[in-house]
Amino acid sequence: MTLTCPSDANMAAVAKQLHATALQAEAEIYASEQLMRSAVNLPTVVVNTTAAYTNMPANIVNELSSATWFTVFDNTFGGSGFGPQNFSTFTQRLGEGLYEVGLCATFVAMGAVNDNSVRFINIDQYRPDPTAPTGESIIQRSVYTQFETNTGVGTEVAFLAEFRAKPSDRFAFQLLHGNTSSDLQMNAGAYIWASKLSETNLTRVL
Amino acid sequence: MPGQTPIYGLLYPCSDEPITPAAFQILANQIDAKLLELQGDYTLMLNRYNYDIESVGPQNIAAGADTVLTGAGLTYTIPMSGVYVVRARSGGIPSGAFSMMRVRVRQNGVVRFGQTSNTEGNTLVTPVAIGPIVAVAGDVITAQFLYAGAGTVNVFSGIDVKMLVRTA
Amino acid sequence: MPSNTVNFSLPYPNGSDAPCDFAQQWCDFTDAINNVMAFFQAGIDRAIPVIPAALLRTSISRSIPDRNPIPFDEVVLDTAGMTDLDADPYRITIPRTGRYTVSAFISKQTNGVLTPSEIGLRAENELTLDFHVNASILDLGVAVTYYVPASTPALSLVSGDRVQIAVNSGTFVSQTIDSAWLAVIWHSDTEVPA
Repeated sequence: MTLTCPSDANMAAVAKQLHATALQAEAEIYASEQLMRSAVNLPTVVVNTTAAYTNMPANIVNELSSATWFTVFDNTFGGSGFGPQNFSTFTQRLGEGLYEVGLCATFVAMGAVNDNSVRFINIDQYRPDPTAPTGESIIQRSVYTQFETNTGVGTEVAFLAEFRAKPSDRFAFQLLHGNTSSDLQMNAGAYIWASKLSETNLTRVL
Repeated sequence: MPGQTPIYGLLYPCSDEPITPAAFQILANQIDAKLLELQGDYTLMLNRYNYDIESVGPQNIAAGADTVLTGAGLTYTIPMSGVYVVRARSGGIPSGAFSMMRVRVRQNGVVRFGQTSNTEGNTLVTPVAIGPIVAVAGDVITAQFLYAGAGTVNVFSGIDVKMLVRTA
Repeated sequence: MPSNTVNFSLPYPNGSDAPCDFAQQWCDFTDAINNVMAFFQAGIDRAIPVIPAALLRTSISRSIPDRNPIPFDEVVLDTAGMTDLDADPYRITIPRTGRYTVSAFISKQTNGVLTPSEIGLRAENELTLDFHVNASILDLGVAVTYYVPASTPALSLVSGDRVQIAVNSGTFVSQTIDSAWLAVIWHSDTEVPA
């Protein structure tokens, strides 16, 4: 007696196996594809101004987030409640992580220029702190110290910083200047931006 | 009629049809082709675009002339649509007095951001500007340099780029 | 004998194979796919959701000899064993050859020198002293706090390289550094211009 193998015309089990393989392969490939693409689609928001932000006096902290900002790029699917004016609290939306945050802006005097007067342009990370007088503390700073050159071009800055942030953190983008003879304005075309580079609550595999 | 999977349309024989060797070959080749595409995603995942060129120069620039930097490698063409971080730096010691230097990054000739340096007392402080560019493939990134003062300067420059986000 | 696909050499039954050999041949096929997917998964594990990154910080005001590395006292972030403040409070060690974003920041007081000078901040490879991350501002000699941020998007670093930061005030005397931070973040395995 010889054992028979399935014939060409009786391959239902084979068909079933090919079907299963096709579905499984598709599921595996699709899952990997989505992960790989998310690795090059880091949550990122870029906002800018289309008009000058004016009347920033000397010797007080001027909050640049008070300007009117427009979304240039946002892949975070923020939807309502996460518009450009909420940008300073992007960590609430995107969660704890390692963030790269930047600011690009040009500041010019609206009137008389004080030669060599100081400009401090800040990106400050604040965290709620009930023990602090203001209810929050600065966790980390990135600041540029500049001096007005009085050459007609104002002060132009473009820099960034890396922060580990928690969802409760907020970021302040500020100008403090010593041009006492006139207010400063931030010219149109300023940018603030942030990108979440990594989660931070896991240890990675090398 | 063969069936097909919902996402990629991988073909498989239905249970009521004769199975020929072609069924195996078709499915195998389809999976093979999808894996090749996936390999492209894999390569980009571990090798997001990035570029740097440093100390190209010198380029001679006159005082007061906001000049596009034209040294070899100082023009970067965006290879894939996305959001990039671009850094530019340029500087040198002019032949005359100098009170300000500025470097700016341009996208298709349009200035996006820049950095000034106060060089009071003829102190060389090289400006370095770094910021975001939302770009489409083919966009051209360049930089320009300006200084206030007298004479001319031979500047040495550099551009660095990294891709943050792929949008293509 | 099974045939093989072009790209990944996945073996699949062909017309010369007996139907009763299908089970083993198809297992060979699915095993081959599994091996490819395992390779891809190893890459995914390296890139998402966590990448090699370290951020050191200090808020302690210290006198640092000019051009000497700045010590840190806080590991804000270390996802890949890149820091050991007990053994080395100055540096972040690169875990894997590749391209890294390097960013840094210091705040300090004036040199006190009336003649304007440059305050330079550079992040350098301790082993070679090569640097590609530097920034500078003007010290006018006035009594304000001088803040200097610096960053480079992508810098080639080799496994074992150690990144530190140092301030060059142009005076060759010790400087009071009020605070500083240094971050090294993996970006890519290779330089890929296009």
